[in-house]
Amino acid sequence: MKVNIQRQELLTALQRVQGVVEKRNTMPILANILLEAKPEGLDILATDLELAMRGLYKATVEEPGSVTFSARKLYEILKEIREPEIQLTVAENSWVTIKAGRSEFRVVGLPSQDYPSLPAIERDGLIPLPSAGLLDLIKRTIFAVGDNDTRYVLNGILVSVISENAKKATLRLVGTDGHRLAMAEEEVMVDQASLPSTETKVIIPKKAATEIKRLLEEDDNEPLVGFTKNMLIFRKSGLVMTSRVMEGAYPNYQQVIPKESSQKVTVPREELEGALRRVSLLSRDKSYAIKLSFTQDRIHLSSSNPDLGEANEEISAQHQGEDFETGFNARYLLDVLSAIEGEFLTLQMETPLSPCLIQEHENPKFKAVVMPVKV
Amino acid sequence: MRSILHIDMDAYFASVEQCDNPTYRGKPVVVGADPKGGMGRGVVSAASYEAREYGVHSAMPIGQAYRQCPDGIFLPVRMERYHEISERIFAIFHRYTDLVEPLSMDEAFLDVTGSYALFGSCETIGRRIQEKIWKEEQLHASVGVASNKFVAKVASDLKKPQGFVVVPGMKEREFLRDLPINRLWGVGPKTTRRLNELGYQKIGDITRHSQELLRSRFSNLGVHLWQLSHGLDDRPVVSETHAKSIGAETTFSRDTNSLSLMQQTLLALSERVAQRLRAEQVDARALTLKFRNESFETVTRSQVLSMPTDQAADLYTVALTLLVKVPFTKQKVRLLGLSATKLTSVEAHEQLTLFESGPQRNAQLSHAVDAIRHRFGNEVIQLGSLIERRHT
Repeated sequence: MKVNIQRQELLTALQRVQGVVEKRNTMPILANILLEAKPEGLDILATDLELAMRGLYKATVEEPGSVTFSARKLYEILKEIREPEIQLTVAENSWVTIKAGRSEFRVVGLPSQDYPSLPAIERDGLIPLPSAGLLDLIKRTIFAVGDNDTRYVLNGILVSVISENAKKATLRLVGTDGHRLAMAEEEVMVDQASLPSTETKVIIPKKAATEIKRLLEEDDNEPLVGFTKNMLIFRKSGLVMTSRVMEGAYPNYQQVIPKESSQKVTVPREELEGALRRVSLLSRDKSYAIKLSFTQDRIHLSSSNPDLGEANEEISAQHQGEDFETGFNARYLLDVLSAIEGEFLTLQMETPLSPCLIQEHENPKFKAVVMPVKV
Repeated sequence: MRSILHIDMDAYFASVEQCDNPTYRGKPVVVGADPKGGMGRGVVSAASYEAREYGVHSAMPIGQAYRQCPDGIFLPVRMERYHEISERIFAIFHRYTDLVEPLSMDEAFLDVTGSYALFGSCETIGRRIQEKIWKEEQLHASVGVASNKFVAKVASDLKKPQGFVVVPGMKEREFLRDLPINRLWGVGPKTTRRLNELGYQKIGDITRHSQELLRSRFSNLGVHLWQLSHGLDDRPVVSETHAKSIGAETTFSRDTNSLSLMQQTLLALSERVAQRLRAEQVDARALTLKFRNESFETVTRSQVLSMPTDQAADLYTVALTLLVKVPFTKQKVRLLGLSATKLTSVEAHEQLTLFESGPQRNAQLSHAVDAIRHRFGNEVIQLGSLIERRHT
């Protein structure tokens, strides 16, 4: 194999696969990428056996061939190289030579047949997923998704397409880790005939959602997204990403989203965010617990840590209902606030120990629920 | 100069048994695993002084103890009872100072430097504590009084049982001089052998040399030995109110590779650990599984929990995932243990959950079960899957 490729092109490819290659050392070869030089360019693949990414990159292929080697080393080398063009050659014994100007690296590689084969892309029963607004919806929900939660499905994002009529549907994403929940939705144009039911659902692993978010942030090109019974497929110019979809019953999230409540507080978002950041500095280490007292025209935030001291702050707010006091993990509230853009937000909760509904003022398309902390 | 007491209960578990059953008094009592006529496995947890005359000592395999002392009274470990009395003994310590550092449930350091004005000299305080323990609990303790922890501990151990040894200030070196070097803290059998070979038999042999010489021969260990042999130890008494970990383990009566038996055992251990977590009012944030195979190779696997818990069901779920991570080498298992670590106090903030009122209900259920067990004993209420085990 012998290939000439622009440094920038290869760097783009390597940046894309960094999130895919396995960092834990379960199967060492999963820390590798697979390079396949073909007449039409250089194919670069990475997988962790659940998520796979394959992209075709512009390159001058002098001699076709393939090899697999450390994704991380190549990335580190590329970051240090300044030459615009790079030459990759692979010897019989799978050693890879990387030449850039006067630098030369020889890196241990393995024959490509050692690399696990990627699952074949299923096209049977492929259900297209509207991609308009998907990036925004992921950003607004992914923070609430669990990490390594023992309740497996909570480590994924629930994606539902709810038909409104023949051409319109609601695309809804939900994330929750059992302590907080975020739900965001958008009206999308969709051909109802392509959907198997009036409410089509799929659960996507958090890692796949993170990668989709990154790929969508690269440019404005609209991707093709779809899923089958087992697989999610994401395709955009020269790139295909597939992910296993998660099986299992997603919890009944609608049941835990509170309805309109008699206790309703409206606050300026930035003021609340700043106060939460400051007051949480003196909260207890791990719980980030802070106390919130709501009175007619203000919120009093306070924290105390027996080893450090305490913090207090007041912000103005409009409050309908009776005075009350509750506690929260400040992190959870800050996560929600970072997913909100509007100038004002509303908090609604029935009692100090019931779920708190957080919404943007006058925006029914985003709902976040945070469970309080007993203080 | 500080005044440090080291108080160590004499043959604690065995003495509690003798106290609870006066007919055992004056007889060899061995607390530990079931000896099963010499075929039993597991170890001796404690031996009364009468049993020690037969050569029985703690950590000895129970079968061996049985063979050496066949007429002994072999009793199971009643940990809760020992904890209960231990709490009362520690309450006595706390009457005299706040600075109580527990080393185990029957042993503690007390810093009484600040208690002179109220209670008299350290010797008076030590005597009073020893008397109170005897009067209130009919148990004997040995007491060492010195200017630091190391010397106090050596002193309490010197005249057991019912010992009372005071090492006056500035006399530490003299006191240690003729004691064997394995009395030094941190000197185990290996180091003892090495030191003996080099001609160090008694602690006094070390003080004859300069610190520099010892440093050149033993590097940091040398400095440590030199300081201790001169009776120097400036470690403070740290009062620690909470345990760092809570664990339980079981040695199988026969080595096994039955997965269902391992699962049952982990469930039973989860129950025991969870019950103690609740009793201490702490939640575990991490769990460690200990696995010993028939060749006595031991591995541990740990996991941080997604939510702090004091519930057996949660511990059990994690224990099973940890069991999978044990590198099975087709060997049978001899011992399984679970220990809850990274303990946090429950009254710290409790994060409420969105789904299933399950956790809250489970917590109520566990507390009800605890209350029943507290009143009627551990055996009266059990998980169904654990009862079956008795019939097989």
